Amino acid sequence: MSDKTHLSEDEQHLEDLTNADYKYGFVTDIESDSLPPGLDEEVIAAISAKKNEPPFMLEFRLRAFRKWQQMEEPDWAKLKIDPVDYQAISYFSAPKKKDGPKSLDEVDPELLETFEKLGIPLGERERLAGVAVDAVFDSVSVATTFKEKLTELGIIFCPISEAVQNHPELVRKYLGSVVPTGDNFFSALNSAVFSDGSFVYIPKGVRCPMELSTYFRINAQNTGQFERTLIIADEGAQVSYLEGCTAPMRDENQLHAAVVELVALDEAKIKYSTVQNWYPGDKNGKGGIYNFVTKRGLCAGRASRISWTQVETGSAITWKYPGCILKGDDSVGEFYSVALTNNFQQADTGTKMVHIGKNTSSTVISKGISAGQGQNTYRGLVEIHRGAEGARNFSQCDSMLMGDRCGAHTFPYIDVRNPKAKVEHEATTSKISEDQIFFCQQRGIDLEEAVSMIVNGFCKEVMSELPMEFAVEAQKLLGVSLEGSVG
Amino acid sequence: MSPSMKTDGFKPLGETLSGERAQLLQAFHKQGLPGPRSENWKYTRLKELAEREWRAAGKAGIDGATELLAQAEELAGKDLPCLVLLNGRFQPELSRLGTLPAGCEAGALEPADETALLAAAIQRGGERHPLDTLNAAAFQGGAVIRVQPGAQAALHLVHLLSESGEDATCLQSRVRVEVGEGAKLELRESFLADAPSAEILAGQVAEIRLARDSRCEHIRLQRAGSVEWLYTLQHIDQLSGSRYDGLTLGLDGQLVRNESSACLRESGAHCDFSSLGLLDDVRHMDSHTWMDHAVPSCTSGQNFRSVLADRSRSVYSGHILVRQDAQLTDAVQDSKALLLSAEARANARPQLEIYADDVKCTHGSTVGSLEEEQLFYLRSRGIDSVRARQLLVRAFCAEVLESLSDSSFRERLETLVGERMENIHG
Repeated sequence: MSDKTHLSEDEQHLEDLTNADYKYGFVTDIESDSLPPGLDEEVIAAISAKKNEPPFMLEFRLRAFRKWQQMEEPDWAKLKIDPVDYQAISYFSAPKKKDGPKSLDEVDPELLETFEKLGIPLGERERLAGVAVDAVFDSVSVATTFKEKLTELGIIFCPISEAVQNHPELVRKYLGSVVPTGDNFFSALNSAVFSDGSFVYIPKGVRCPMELSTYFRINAQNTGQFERTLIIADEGAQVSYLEGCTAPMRDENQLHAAVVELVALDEAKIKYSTVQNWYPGDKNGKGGIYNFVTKRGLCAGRASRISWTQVETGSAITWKYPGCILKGDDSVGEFYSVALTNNFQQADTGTKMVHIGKNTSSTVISKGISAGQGQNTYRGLVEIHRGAEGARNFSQCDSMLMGDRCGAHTFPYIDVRNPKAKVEHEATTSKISEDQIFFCQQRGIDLEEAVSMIVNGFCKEVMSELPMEFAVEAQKLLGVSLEGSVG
Repeated sequence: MSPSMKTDGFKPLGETLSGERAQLLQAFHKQGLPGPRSENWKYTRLKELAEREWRAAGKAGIDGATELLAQAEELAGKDLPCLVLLNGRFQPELSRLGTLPAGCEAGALEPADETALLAAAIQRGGERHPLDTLNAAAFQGGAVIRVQPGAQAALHLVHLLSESGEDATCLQSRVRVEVGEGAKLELRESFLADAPSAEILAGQVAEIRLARDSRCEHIRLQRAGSVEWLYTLQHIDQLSGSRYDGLTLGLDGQLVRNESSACLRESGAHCDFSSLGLLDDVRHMDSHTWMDHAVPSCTSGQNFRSVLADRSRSVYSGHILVRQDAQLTDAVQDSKALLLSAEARANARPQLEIYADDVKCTHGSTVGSLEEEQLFYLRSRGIDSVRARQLLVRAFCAEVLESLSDSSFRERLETLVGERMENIHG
């Protein structure tokens, strides 16, 4: 560590950046239509009524709520979590409705400004970026673009609340089919109270012509955000979905318990990419988002394929295990992850690959980076069922440590019941190479950039899986998130 | 609450079931048998233990002891001094300790050791491992081995396990090993049982202390026949420059659980755990390790392999802990399971918990069957498929055994493994 009195210009610059406040920390003042804090069956009925849901949805929610009441918060993860008071959270918050906007002109200008600050390609940028955005502001979807173009192809891309109204048969069939209501504590809570999220249906043989994307943004104070996403790719369909998020700065811990379900039928392909950059708390570990997410994909059909790519740099606590159930023969599951923890961030993340069908294969590439006092845990399960003849898994979990106060942990679980299967797992843990830093600096690359380069090199296998626009953002994010951690 | 064991039959321990032991037994009942809901016991089924009436083994000798002993010596080496425990109790007439070199003492656990052990067990209280508590409450005896600084010794420690009466028998023993500064101990340990079908729960807890620059090569040969439950817990405590090389060969036992933990307390220590399990029928073998790198500049290795036939199951759960100050640690973990049947099952949990940055930690884990390409290679050279499979399995096993320094001993083990493999059908 360099002596403070001899800080070079670069290091000073680094210091400034590190001490800088969270870039995306601003609160937008919009009138919210919120329920008072607390959760009981009445609140659930109220949410359901506010959204004008059919009876089957209320039943679904109540069933989940009753299960949730019987459940205990999981404590097996390697995380220190301040207790969450579930009765102190307001379970519904929606921007005031002003007769559903049909075009951007009708959207609250303050809201548009928020999107502008976040850099969402709405308005003028939509054509440039070629991205259809279903922007979720807190819990209710406000603007959906490119809808008409997608409609032509028969693709449904809408807020899930709208899907409940317009496509109840699809929602009823698939909602909770991959992540059952009682799957875990947080998914049960989500199933009971979820407010909105995205719904995607790609019909048979259709290849979605553009990347679908949603930006989530937690806004109203004390509002846990409970997103629900459901993506269905029918036979031979293909879709790539992007999810990315930033959240305003806040001192109180905010709970986020999302559920994402993916269903891929015969020969369908779903690619789900996430860049998560929520408020990680300040340098002293105060505040930050609790991110307790359940994500699971079902490769229901033959030769279907589900691919998860995630870059997790934000949140005070990340509890997230995107998984694939490889039920169809010859189906493929992939998981590419970069998880970065700095300061007092904690992440317990990984994947579950459950091989049921014959000749199923899965790949797991996980890169963990710990800096400051961050604790980074990879926890993954590879399960080969008795009938999964010829199943194949390869897992690689690499950890990089920066500084002597952080931790990197690997807890893989391997369970094999078929001798014709092959499972390989390998993991390494190492320090960021001083030689490499020296090499870069010697060639005039400053420390900050050198670290960023080395880390990006370390994560290359994951980054290359991200769609182009996302990869650029993610690379910058890694660099920014690590500023000040070495030097 | 978790079910516990019925231990009314422990009364015959009578005179030895002192106040401390009763207290520990009570503590054990309070803890209960660990169940599948606990992460570390997820794959180990102990439920059946709760269904039986347990009694402690009596003092009676067994008829076939000499033959069993001869069998053990055949493998471990006939010219080694040997210390024999029958159901944990020292057997001077069967043991041969006259040839022990100067500077090495071996014998029964003395009353002073017992008192110290019980006191320590009570002090540690509820944080203990439940089976460790049971062992402390009910151990019938054990052995102490001490090697003075600078001395060198080799010893064969034999555990004969025997059923007594109609009830299920609980056999518990303690072993304590101390290797002095710069000393060297080559310890071979055999576990053998007499009955063809023995309702035995055999537990052994060993404490091994290595002083500075000492060395211990420890080979455990588990040939406990059809003993129903066998568990061993061993704890290695190492000072600077010491080296421990442990190898466990699991050949028998219906449910075997081996737990090894090491605390590398001073710099420059090295600890190596390896294990080879040959499993068939419905046998189950659990291997748990806990490698605690507490200080900088220590190294450790782990190499665990199992060959699984029929409906057998193997579990490897390894843990490397690198504490915050333990810079320059180099730790390796390797586990491999070879599945030869459609109903065999392997679990692996190779875990790393790392709090220091300048370290090298790697783990690798594979589960699979024999490579078709390798079989094809051998068959294309005129080797029939049965023989080809045997060759490949032997090669898989040999990688664990090759670390042994005594070549004739290694060859005997290789032959034994080879014979065993011929009876295991893939």
